[in-house]
Amino acid sequence: MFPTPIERTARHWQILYRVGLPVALVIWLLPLLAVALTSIRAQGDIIAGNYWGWPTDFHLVQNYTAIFENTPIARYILNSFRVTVPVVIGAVALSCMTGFALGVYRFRGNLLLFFMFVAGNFVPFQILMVPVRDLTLQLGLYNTVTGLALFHIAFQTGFCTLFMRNFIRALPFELIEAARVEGVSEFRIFWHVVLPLMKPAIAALAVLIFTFIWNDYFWALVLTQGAESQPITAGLYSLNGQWVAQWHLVSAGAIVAALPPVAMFFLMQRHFIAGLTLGAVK
Amino acid sequence: MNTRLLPYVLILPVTLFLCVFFVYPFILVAQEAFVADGALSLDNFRRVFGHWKFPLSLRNTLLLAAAVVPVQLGLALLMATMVNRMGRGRDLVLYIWTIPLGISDLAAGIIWLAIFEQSGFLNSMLHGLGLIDRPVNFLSYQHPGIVFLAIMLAEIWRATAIMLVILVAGIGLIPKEYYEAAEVFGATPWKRFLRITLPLLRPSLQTALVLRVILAFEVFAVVAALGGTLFPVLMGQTFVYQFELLDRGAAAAIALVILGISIGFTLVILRVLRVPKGARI
Repeated sequence: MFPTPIERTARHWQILYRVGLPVALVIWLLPLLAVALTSIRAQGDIIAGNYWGWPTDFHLVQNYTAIFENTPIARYILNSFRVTVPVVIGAVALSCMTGFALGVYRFRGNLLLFFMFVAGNFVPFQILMVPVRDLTLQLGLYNTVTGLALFHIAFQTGFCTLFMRNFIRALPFELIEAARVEGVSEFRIFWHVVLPLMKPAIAALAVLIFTFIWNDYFWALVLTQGAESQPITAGLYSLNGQWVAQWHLVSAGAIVAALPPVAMFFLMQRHFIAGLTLGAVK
Repeated sequence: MNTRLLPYVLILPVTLFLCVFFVYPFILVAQEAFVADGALSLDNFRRVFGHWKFPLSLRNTLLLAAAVVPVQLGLALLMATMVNRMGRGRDLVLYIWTIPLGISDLAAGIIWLAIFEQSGFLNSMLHGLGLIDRPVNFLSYQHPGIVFLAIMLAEIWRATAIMLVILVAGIGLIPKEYYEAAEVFGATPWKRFLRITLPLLRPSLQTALVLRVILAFEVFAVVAALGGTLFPVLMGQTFVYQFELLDRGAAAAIALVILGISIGFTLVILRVLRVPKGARI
């Protein structure tokens, strides 16, 4: 049997695993734990420099209520959802269609188009900052959630299409052929045969895109300003300037900003990892 | 619907969408970079290259990538082989290691800022241990090495997981028979890693490296949070040109420099790690 399970390897390896791995995991999580602990401290602890000791007072409710009451953080989070959800739906829908076309049909330009999508994946999008900003200004979409969402969809579609196409390629083609023999129309094949089989890929892609878009800071900074349209990442940066050295508030803000994607992650971990690997390896 | 027509109908929306929101900006950025005062010229590039901050930000960007990516590669390989040998708890370990992927780069930058800041965790710890008398402002121009180290640590912590996941999947694809055969012939674990895992992992290594290197050249939010103006990088300079100096031509020119570097490194990685024909699994 391979790989040899840890239980059957030499004793010193077992000990190394038993001790080394938990230590590595704790170190890995240490920055997060530190921030989580700071976010429930009272201001007195921060001023006194008590970062590592036991909190003198637990201000879980006070700190988190404070950031929601005194700052537009709820608004920022709402904006994040208003950007992220349409992007997930749009990018997944578009890439299902394109992926189906590229994966199932042979037509002129198929390979060329496919390579364009692959290459498009490896272009650093941030270099498009200048014209993208101009375009949103011209279209009247600057500082709107719509503008931000439209460009996110454009930038994610290449990756999503690549992902979907590879997934559809791996499906048993006989199913489609059998349906064709039965005289099922192509559209119904797409809708009733292929789409149900793509559910795992759709779930994986949805989680992946959700985290990518939620965490975007660059485009939020370029395309929006002010609380009415800024998502949480950009909002956090402005709040960071406002909360100078009030680390308990900064930490609470960072935790709140990270919560939706991490929760999503926790609920859909299997899909997320499947998603990353499917897209990357095939 | 006609079978011949359907693929085109399905592809049309994406094509239109991408032409407007992706290809068109791309043409615009090239045009903006190569045109100055209404004529074709390299003035924008000259102005960018002549600025004293350009060599500095170029050097910083390359240095950061050179310091971060190899560490991440080594760490991801180590983590992936460890995870691969685990039975119980594999998913939990993988989950914990991938958590930073769920956190935005800016939030990660702020988390590490809280650690290195003058009134932050590190200072409080060193003070508590009696190693320093009063808080040191680590992230200042007097400590360029520490600024670099902080950015490096934050980047490693934040972005190693993306390589890890790709490599874990790649290792899973390697047929177990190779390892069994090697074991029969008495190859040590290290030899098996060197002679089987590494060569057969080339496609995943390619993807992981290309992805990571390109992202490393685009590094922005973490540097903005930790280094500010102390550590100029190319993407930050693009930002400065556009929003502070209001010089769009120069911003476009730097953008094209980043694109050029990214393409160059991608080609090198693809070439070095190419999979010989007929050697696929």
